[in-house]
Amino acid sequence: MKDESTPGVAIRLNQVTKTYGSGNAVVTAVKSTTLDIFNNEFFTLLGPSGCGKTTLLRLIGGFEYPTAGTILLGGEDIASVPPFQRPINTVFQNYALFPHMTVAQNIGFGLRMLKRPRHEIAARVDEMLKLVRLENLSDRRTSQISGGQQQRVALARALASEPKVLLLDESLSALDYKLRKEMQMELKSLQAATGITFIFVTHDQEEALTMSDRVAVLSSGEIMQVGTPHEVYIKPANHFVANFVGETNFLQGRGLNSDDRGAVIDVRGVGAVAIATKDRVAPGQLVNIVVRPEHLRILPLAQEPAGQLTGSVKAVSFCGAETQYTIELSRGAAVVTVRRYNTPEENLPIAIGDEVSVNFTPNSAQILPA
Amino acid sequence: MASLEAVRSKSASRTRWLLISPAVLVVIIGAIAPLLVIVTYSFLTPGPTGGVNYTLSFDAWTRVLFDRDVFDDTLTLSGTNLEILLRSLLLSLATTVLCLLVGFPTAYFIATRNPLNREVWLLLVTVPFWTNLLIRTFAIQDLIRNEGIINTLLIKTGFISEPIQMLFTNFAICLGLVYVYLPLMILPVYASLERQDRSLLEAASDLYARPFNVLREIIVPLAKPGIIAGSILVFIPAIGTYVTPILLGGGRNLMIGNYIEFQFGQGRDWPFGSALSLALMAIVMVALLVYIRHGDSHGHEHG
Ligand SMILES: Nc1ncnc2c1ncn2[C@@H]1O[C@H](COP(=O)(O)OP(=O)(O)OP(=O)(O)O)[C@@H](O)[C@H]1O
Ligand SMILES: [Mg+2]
Repeated sequence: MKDESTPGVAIRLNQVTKTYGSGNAVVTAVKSTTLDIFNNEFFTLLGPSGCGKTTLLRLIGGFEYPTAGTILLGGEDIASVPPFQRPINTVFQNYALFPHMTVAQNIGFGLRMLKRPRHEIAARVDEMLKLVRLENLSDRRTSQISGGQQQRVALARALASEPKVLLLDESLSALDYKLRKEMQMELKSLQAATGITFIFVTHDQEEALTMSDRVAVLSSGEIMQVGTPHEVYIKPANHFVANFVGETNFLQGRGLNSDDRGAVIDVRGVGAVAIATKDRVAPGQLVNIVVRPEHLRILPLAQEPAGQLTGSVKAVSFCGAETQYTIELSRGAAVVTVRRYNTPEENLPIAIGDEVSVNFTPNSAQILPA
Repeated sequence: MASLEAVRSKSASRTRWLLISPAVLVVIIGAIAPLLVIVTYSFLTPGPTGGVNYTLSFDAWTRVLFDRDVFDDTLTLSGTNLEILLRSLLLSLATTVLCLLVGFPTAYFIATRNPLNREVWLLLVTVPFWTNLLIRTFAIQDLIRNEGIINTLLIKTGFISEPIQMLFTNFAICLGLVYVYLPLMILPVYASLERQDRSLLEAASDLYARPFNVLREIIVPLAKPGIIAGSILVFIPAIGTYVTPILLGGGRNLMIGNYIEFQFGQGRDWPFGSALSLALMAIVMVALLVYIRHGDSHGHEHG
């Protein structure tokens, strides 16, 4: 089956469903998912544990077959093609390096299975070793190298045969913070250099935002939103995405009135709050106002007349570049988190127990149906 | 300081010796002492009614490989002894190979079942051990003798008109040995297969290895420790086997185990029996060394 209509699409999932088990114990790991992943894209599947990320990846890799739906690779239906015939390679979560082979033999394995000539394999292995900066480890056993190095070998091994698509399952989660940051940059530049489509799985939203061209946020087997990191963060499609991607404050309220430029919401215990939004809110409709912690501004009450919201400081935690305040709004409206950069100019004397005013500009907040 | 250290390490080493002394005692009584006795016997002359006379002689060792002419004392290579040795070697090698050929797929089958079924299959593998070896061997005899079930069936169905002579052949011995020692191959191979990381197989498949290549490149090399252990466990008892050649090989197809037994029994030549035992031991050790060496070097050049 050829579908030439969309040349830019590397992988197309069409109504893909995957269920495990039978009878009463059926688990639907992926629910009728439709998704396009483009050529030369760094695409990330983001979601909490058990939401079906690995299953989706295994469907694309060929280790599981879909219960329903089609998977197209470059327009060709590959839903029933075994893994060894798919030009798609995987970097496994536990690396899955072959313990009875050296680093070089691991990297050359795919090419050897493809029956490429010896000299070509040797040249390509050298090239890959250079790419991941492991030239001097080529004859080591995989058990004799560090975790970060194993990670690189797994990457080199998967890239050696120049797949159309590379799958990475939580590849960085076993590494320590510093090494992870380093590998994130390395992966990103590797993707740009090779032009191969990367599909990356993670449950770490920060990692997803930093690395990806586009992100798909998943929850219990369903895609909640697909978009650039910016879109997903700034304009979350629903409560789940807003909550899962980055930290967020929710203020519950009812619509009072709205026009093209904004809406006025009656927040419980606070009163009328204006929000800039194009979405219409029906009077009386239950909604959530969504504000990121870094978009809230706080000042000591004594220093300024009461703003939109007032509250008392419950906790202050210093996080290096910024300080995070937990504030209980007056009249039990909500508990919100506020984040401020620690700059010499803005050294606020705010301590636990202080009464503060909390403000945000109308266009830094967003409205989502409750 | 240094003296304190020395005292401490001295007492530590004394404790260590005390702790391992039971093990050392068992090794001395169970392995070294009997071996010393056998080595001593092999350099003595036979007593008239079994036992030994304490006179130094290399005769027993000479006769392991050579026949001494009765009249002029010239030595010729001993046809009988070499034949028996060679037959024992070949039969036990064949047994080991057959056990591997049958045992590996069996072990693989069991290792790929779900955990609950695995237990059942493993139990079934050990069932033959519950019955006495003699009875099992007689059962094989009954199966393959000329009037046995197999021949009767073949004749009844018209495949053959005359019974095939299976009993009292090398084939019968081999069959018996494979049957008896197969579990000793299956169990260690299973243990090494069961430990294998499934994601390695997926990784190989992901890297364009067809199922047969996954077997050849990943499963078998990783199961090598199990295969080596299984082969050793089968080969050693097979080469020294005693009951099977008697019952299934008849009087004609002796193996070295029977020959040694004969020297200590009717033959009344304990020194020669001792020399034969030691020669067998030497052969087994050399075979093992060659085997393990080869297995190792193969692993290193692999890929
Ligand atoms: N082989 C299987 N048999 C039965 N259920 C399975 C199987 N594999 C996964 N599941 C179920 O499918 C759902 C999705 O699992 P999956 O491994 O895809 O999640 P995930 O998003 O990768 O989670 P994590 O972040 O923890 O790795 C889970 O509820 C899981 O229990
Ligand atoms: Mg997973």
